[in-house]
Amino acid sequence: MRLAAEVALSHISKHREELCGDAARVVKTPHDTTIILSDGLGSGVKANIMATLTTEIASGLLKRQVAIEHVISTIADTLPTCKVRGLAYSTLAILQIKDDGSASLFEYDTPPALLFRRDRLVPIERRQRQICGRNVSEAAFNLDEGDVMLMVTDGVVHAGVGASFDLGLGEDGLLHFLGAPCSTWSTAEQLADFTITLADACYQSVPGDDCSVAAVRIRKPQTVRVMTGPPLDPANDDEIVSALFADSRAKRVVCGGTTAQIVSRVIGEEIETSIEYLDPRVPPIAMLPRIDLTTEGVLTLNRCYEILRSAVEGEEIPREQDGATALARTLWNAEEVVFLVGRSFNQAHANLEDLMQLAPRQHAIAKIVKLLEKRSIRVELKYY
Amino acid sequence: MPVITVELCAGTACHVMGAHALNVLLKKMAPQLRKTIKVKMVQCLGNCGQGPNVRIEGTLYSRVTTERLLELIKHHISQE
Repeated sequence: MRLAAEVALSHISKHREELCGDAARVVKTPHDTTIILSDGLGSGVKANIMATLTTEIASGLLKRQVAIEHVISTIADTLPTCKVRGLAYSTLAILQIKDDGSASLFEYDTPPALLFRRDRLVPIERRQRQICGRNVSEAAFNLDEGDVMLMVTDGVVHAGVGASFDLGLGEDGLLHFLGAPCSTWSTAEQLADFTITLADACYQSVPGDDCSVAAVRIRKPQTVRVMTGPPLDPANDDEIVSALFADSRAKRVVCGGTTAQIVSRVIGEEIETSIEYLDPRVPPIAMLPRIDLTTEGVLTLNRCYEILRSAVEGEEIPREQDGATALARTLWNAEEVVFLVGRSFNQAHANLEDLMQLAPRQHAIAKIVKLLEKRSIRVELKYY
Repeated sequence: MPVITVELCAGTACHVMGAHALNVLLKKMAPQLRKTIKVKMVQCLGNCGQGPNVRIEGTLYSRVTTERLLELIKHHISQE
């Protein structure tokens, strides 16, 4: 059975530092997902540079299908060591999960990653290796659907040291507050956010160190079906809506006001539109029974493209709930996306698109597709 | 006290032409006036070239500004 790794990253910077001295990257290929986490020595700009260099070198090599051992040795060989303290300028943890559930973990000078299965901590057997003079711990194990993994930097483990706790939160404290990580949180995002909030609370909102979390949840691959735009021939309304509902396990997204009205009429459900403008750049979302997300069309798709473009460059997708961010997050976390695109065109939008320099619907979708394919998400386009 | 229904179009064209400002106006309205209206957002009022569109008690109004919206609401309340 094919499995997918849903990954979420969260971080807070040390108090009064503009940049976080930790860096994290997620590299997805068609058959695996790799999470890279690095903690730069110290904090601030210098630490950020070292951590970013580490994760960028690692992710660049991994994208070129270089084996993890060579990635580690390249980084160990490349990155300097502090002559005074004898410490490497950055730590490194790499977790690679293949779509058959097999996982490889390499850790250099980081808190050990945690694996939870049915809410119980599962010990990971590690062996120590010397790679280019650095002591690296290595593990190989298998993951099942429902398993949860947590990787943190030492800012989390030492959260609250000297204040809330004498010796900091510690792994025991972290395990205590996590409770039942597999069943309490249904998404990796919720777990990552909880862990960072916990660390921040331990520091009493004055973080004494940068804190980063990578949460991973193993699940079945997720398909998202997106219907946008009315069909050229209204006689095809039923056909396109049927295609939207073709896969009972897929998430269903509707982008467009007229599109939503078509779906509403065909499935016989009422649309209720939110009165809240969570982001003034995009119209509010709507609620339609049996549809997971209902947004406006062109403006939302254009804004979604901007968010995904930042995500491709390594920025985290914000946690906001407006239509564009919710759409971006839904697409970004999918393994397969099917776009059902109606070719009908609203003449009233033509002048607006020129005025606002917006890409027309089909062009915006084509740009989004290119970004999704960079993340190895399978995309299918069907036109009506 | 009579309550009138005010429907704002949340469609693309109306949003670009200023529907958000109308939404903000309705939220910041004086409480005594706010109590007399029920605000709903609707997907599309089918008049995209003349936005922003508002429908009050079933009557469609086009190219509505914030000042005009206030006048229209007061007009409809006075009619009730």
